Amino acid sequence: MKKLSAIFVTMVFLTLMLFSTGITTGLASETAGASGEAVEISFWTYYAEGTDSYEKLVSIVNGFMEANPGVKVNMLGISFWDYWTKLSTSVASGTGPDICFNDIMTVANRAKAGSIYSLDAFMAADGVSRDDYVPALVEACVVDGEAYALPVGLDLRLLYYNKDLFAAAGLDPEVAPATLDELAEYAKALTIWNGSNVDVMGFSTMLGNSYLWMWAWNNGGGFWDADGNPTMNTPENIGALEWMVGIQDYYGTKAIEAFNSITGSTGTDPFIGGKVAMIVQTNSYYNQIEQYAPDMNYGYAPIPTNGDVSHTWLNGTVVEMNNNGDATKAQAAWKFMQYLLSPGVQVTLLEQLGSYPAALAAYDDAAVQDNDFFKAVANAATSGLMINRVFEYSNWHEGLNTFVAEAIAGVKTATQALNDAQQFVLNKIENFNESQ
Amino acid sequence: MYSLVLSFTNTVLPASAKFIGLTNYRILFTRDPVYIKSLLNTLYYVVVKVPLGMIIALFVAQMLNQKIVGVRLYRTVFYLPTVVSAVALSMLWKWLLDSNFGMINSALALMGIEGPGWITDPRWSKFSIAMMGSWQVGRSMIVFLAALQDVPPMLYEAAVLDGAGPFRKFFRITLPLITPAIYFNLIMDIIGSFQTFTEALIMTNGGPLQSTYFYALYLYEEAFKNSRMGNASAMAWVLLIVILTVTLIVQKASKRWVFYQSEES
Repeated sequence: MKKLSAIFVTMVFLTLMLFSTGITTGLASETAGASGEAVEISFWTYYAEGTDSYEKLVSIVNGFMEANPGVKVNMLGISFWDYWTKLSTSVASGTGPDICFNDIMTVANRAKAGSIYSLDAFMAADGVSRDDYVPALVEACVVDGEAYALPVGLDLRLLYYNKDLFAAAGLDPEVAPATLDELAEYAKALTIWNGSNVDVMGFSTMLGNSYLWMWAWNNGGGFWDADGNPTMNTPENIGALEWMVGIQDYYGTKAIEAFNSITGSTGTDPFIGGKVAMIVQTNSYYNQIEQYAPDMNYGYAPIPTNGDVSHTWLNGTVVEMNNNGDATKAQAAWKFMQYLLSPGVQVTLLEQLGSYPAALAAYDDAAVQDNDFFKAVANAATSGLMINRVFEYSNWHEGLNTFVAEAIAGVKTATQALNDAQQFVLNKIENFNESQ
Repeated sequence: MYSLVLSFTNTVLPASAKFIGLTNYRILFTRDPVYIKSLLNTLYYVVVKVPLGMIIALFVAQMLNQKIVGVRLYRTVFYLPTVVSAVALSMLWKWLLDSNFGMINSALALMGIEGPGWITDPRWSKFSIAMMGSWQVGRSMIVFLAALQDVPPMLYEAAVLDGAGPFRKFFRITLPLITPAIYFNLIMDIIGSFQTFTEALIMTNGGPLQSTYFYALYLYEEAFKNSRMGNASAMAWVLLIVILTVTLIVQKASKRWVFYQSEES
């Protein structure tokens, strides 16, 4: 009997503890703003506390609070590498921030789960239009016709090249390769061998931010059809993978491993260190070159293409509001979101944090127009393509990398690799659908 | 316990949870080749790393159980890898195992041997990570050292009088009397090895060609990259059951080979 009583008391105590957390949190959120005090909202960002970027963001956030004394923004900066797991765990447990940066590729997952607010009503009330932002990025934020997030920053890829190495190889330093075949030819022409080792690598498809899907797009390929069915093994995709394998085969596995060993051991980026003549990298790479090699004579160009239009791989970060069930906080969070997305603040984020604007009006700013690189980014963004967002298998592109590696390693031909990739993706989708 | 509930749902986020019974478990074992691969990779790692690690730990403990000058320093040095961050150790071993300029292949080259691509060749990568795991023997070594020091010296004296050499002394006296320590280290190593994660993430990211794609790495990617919490929870509970089963088998078998000195006395 005593044992039963002890168990009963323990269960009651535990239950009360669990409920009390919810009750007190609810009371706190309901009373916020009711007495006329500032509404407090929580804002999470991946600029870690203690870093220079975090301090700059603090100033930007303070600018909002000075202009809006009725809203207090409690910002939490988490290291980029921990941010995503901490954010998803906190949202899953119902303790997520009121507003946060998040991954654009998985907006649909969160929208369908009901964990983030639809923004259409907020946008309509304040005259904010989807047309104000980079179209491909906004499209990723629209789920079942409603916008659930807005893009706050973008990243895309460009071809960076070393003009001095071009001149040394007898190539025009002002003309970058425009097609995939030209890129392969330039790669060979720019490579400097030292016996069987590579001293300077012309170009490698496995360095930097180079991935099959971008080359496939620029070879007329694609990985999903209009009905959302996978098309991993189209001839164009296979052609792009064969092109990648061809470039790697020119160097050979041993030479590539030796090159990676040497460049990896110095701790210096191989392009910045003058060991690679051309590399595909993101737009933020520009800031790295300016910081670590300001005297480097380099150029940047759109991704080479076999088509009429160059398609870079476009990606971005969104800002979204988590549905914590508090309408007052949601309104305050929306006000803060508008501030972050305003053209002036977008330009400030670019200048101070290297975060490239997703708001189109920001690119009309004089600071952007005066900079050729920023203009190149704006141009590339207009024809950039995003990874297809597949609800059943959101990480499909990373799954593709295993099959690309098999083809590069010579374990399978490009055709075999992508045929297997097709089966793999179909299997993943089937597994997902079976669990629904 | 919440993860057990999640394992029976199709959760992407809790708000979308729908009970689907054993579907997650069935798909894992019948329709997910990557899961089977990660399980087999992990089993390989456990089978290689655990015995190798224990043999090395016992050997080192035996060496450190000597009254020599500086033995305390040596004990500290051998224990140090245990307290160093796993990320730092992984970076260090990535450099040591470099196929072209790493110290190991450079040493082999001095002997005229061309070393393999330890972490770039899928035929060697699993073994390399297991070898690296075996090197971190500090914790096991300390336990063995304590057990070795607990062996009554008079037994060795008596064995010497009977003409026993070092090998007979080790296999007939030392080994039986330290079986409780072996048992403890075996259980702890098995549990830890099944959950190996950091080395694969830092050194190879599951490659090359998924040869080091261990169970915990796949679980992590399912949970935090694919947001499939239901599936990841199912994987976590399967891992628990596997570890529990192996531990129970070892425990049952221990009655045959573990000898406790207190039982005899």
